[in-house]
Amino acid sequence: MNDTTGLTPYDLARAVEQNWGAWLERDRRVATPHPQVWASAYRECERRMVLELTVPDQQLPFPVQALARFRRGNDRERDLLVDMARIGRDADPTFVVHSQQERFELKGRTGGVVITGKVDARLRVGNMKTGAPLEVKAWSQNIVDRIDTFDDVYENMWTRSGAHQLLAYLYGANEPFGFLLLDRSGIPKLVVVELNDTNHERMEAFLARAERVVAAAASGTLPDYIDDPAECKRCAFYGTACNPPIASVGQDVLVDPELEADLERWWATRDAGRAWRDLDEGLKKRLRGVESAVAGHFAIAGRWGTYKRLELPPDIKKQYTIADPKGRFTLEIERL
Amino acid sequence: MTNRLTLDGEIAPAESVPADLALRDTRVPATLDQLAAQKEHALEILEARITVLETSRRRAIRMTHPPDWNLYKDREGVVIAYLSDGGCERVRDILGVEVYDVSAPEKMANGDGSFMYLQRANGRSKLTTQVVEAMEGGRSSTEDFCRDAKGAQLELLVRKATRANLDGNIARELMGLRNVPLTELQEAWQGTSKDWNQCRKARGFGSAEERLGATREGVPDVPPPTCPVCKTPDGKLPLPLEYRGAKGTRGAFYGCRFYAKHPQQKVFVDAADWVAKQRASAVKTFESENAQLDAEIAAREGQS
Repeated sequence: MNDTTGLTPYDLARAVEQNWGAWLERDRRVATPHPQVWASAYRECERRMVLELTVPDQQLPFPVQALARFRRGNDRERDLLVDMARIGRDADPTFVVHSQQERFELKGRTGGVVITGKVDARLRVGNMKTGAPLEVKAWSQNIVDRIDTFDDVYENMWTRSGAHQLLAYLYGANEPFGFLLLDRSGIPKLVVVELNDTNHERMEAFLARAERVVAAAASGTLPDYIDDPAECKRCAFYGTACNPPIASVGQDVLVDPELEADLERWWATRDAGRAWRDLDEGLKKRLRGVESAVAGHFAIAGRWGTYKRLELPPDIKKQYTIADPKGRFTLEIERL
Repeated sequence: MTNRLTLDGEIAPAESVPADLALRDTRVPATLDQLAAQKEHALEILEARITVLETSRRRAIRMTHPPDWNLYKDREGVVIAYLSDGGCERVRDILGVEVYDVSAPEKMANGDGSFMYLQRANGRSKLTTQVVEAMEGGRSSTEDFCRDAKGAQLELLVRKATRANLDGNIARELMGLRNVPLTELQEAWQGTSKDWNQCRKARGFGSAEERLGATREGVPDVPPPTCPVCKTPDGKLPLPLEYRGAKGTRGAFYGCRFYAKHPQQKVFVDAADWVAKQRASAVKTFESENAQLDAEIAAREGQS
């Protein structure tokens, strides 16, 4: 078996890769039914949450490449916590990483446990009496680059479940704040998570949802389908254990002949309009500062005026910056 | 259902839209009687409805990507395109395709241990109000996408693909994207970087290797001559002749695949002659280009 005579270097590389995949496959864990919702398993669809409790094996298994990424994530989590502990010893203020992989449970209103989970570690800085919960995530670089605040984590559908995971721990332990440690190339990013009113409400909604899910799983019933084709498209149970009806949004049909005529005119004059705009911009750029001049048949007059602008330090600017999801509207019109 | 009319930038509620305008909306079912009642506006309404459907169809095709399409070529050389399940998913929102009354997937075992799943559902389009009933989707465990799967994974894979195929079949049927002429794809992609040559080439495009761009063994590597009679489906380009290898005492030649269509005008090009001419002209072109380049270099260096 060890005879590699006749194999090219490419064959050898392929053989190593294949064995790597087989090795990861051997470590694959099979999902088994469980009675409580995992803290990291917040989903928009309650039906999906019930199916994850009752028939988790009805999801397509993760491809081996995903297993490799999970392994890498676990390795990074361990390495980051070790580094953090080392750095903390000589830091000012000093900090300590402790209580790693601490298990927690959240009870519902009926008294039964509905959410369970583990927190990666606790971080005690300076003379803090107890450590603040710390959750390590090794998400994709593209995702991490877009995260500055906890709201960024919450608003992204791919990271929302991770956001709930730490919130659940803060809520359960009644901790006022915690940290998300995000791995990236360079110094990891530490995002503060506060259990403020908004996050408290988010967590109560998650808890209420988990209660309904646990009750449905116990009684063998399934909640209604979610009315969101995009969510169904992403769901691992779609087509295996769940076959919902699909209702696409559909486009609007605007039936105003005047609007159609305006659009035709807009299209017909578009190129001329663009050419004029480019010329206008170019001329204004070239003639900036010319106060009085003639050019051929043209008289040119310009004057300086006061322009008031507000220059704020970046941290203050950020403090007063709000993200309005409907603040910008981009329109694309195309004649087909 | 919302019928909208923009008046000074406002969206008017459905009930305030005049009937002759409301009927322009394809989402409003219109009977012949209703159209006839509109008298002189009837034709205009019909045209408006057709325009909405045509624009929507073109918009849907424009949203797809070349790998979403499988191309099939028949013996006549006519190429038609078939939108894949993945492509259907991309354009479903344009026609507002709904899939409902979905049955549970039904497993059908074949004698050899392989199996297939079958699933049925109804569908409708919000845009056209068209309804299709008892549509079927099915996939088999012997298909290519299952090659490395086994056990429970195979079962889940086939079931998932069955649902995707069912959704795709309904969307294709409602959108008429099962047999799309190649010219329609080309027109819809005009002004974009999408190229029909990047579509998946299926039956009628030669062996698996040829579909990926390889040439047939023994076929000369020069561009083939073209038929003076036959043209591509859009009528713009002449069709290339096909190479036929030497057989017995007959030498190799290029002939028209559709020779039966023009029996009066036989098209026959001797392969050896053609190849020799092509190679000679290629050498000539190469030599003349080289000479020109030499002259330019020499001129720049002041040696001429």
